[in-house]
Amino acid sequence: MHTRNTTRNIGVAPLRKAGDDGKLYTRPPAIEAKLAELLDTPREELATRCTIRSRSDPGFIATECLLHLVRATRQDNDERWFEQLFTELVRRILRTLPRPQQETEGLVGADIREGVLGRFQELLSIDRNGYCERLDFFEVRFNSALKTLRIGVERKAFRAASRRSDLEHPETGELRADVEAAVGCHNPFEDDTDLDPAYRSRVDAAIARLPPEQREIIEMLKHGIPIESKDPDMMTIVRALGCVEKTVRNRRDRAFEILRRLMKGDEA
Amino acid sequence: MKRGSAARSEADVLEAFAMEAEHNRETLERYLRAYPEHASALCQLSFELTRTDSEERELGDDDELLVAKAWSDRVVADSQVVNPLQALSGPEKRRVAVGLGVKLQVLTLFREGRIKVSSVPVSVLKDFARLLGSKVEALNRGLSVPALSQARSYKADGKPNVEQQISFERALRESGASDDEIARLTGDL
Repeated sequence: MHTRNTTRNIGVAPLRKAGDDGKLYTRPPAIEAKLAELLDTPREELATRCTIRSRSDPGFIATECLLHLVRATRQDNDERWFEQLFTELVRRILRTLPRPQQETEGLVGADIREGVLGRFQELLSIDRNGYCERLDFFEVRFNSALKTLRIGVERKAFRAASRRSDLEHPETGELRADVEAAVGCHNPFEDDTDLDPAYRSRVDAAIARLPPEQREIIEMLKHGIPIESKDPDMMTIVRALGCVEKTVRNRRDRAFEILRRLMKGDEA
Repeated sequence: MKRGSAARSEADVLEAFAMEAEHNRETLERYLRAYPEHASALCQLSFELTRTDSEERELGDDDELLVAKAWSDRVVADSQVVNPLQALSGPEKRRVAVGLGVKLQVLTLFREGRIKVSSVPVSVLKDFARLLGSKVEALNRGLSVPALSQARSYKADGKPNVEQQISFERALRESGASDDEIARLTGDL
């Protein structure tokens, strides 16, 4: 027997987006099972459980499930219920975005925050007026989908800012001699296989603060992709980015120097 | 992964990458080869998907203000009309067109707000709403406005020029539908 004032009448509709293999997206089995349980749970209880933040709490509701409940409200006239779910979903999104005061390389946290929220609202608007397949991605892997959306917003903001480091020669992209002299070329990832998780986490936090053109090189180096190679079939950073080798090495060296400074400050 | 799809948007490629089971060197290299035009974005996403530092922060008062603003924006957005065909992908459009028994061209006219909704039989609108997971009332309003040119605004580009709107029957005829198909869809049978 169904409990009164649940969401069961809506049911767990399958997702509609098809992946590159032509198969429809499917929710992870744990999410699907949890949704089936949540649809039989009274709304009052769900409203309380939505605010639980600890993932180890048995009452915790995954954001993928929360989004599903939000999407399901388009078949529902209970505005108060929609507001409870929606505002909690927005809080969860905000918790993963940069602090509003944080400024990194010309990008202000508040701008990113509002850009991401605005874009998410647009997707939700489309969904509430029909169906937005892009939101299916969020129901499968919410955090990954949000990161994807955030990168789009950040890249757009960077393009708009058209910022260019004053350390770089405007035409050749080469380091000034004085900067080059001050920068070592030691690769902090050479011996990273045995890094302890806490240290690794601090390194990642530092990498996140690099400008995108440096971060992308560090990411490829982390995966072991070489800067260049004589083997024409080998993927290299130079080939991936279409830059000359000197530019890649300069950006790498500058990134290492910034990372060293950030890690030093962290330790202090 | 789709091959040789140079025209794929950055958002599509990033989503496909994020949906991969593994985010290791092999996956990254595969995407860098297939989508060199999105190399930078792929590297940024690769880092974000594999970073190990804590990603959650505590909310401040200004965040709560933003939550309140998001809700009020939501209320306003829900009161505005958006064409329901706005976000349909190619395969989804084909699914709806097949379900309705019309050519894609007709769906494009609906998307542009160029068909008089009053000329569409209720039975067709019901099928349409079912295929879109929408309600007939919402569909009635939504099909009256053109889709946004880009999903960057809550508002549609503008109201359709009523004089430029054509009847459902004429749209079917111009799409090359047979007389029998037209009769079936317009309720003349």
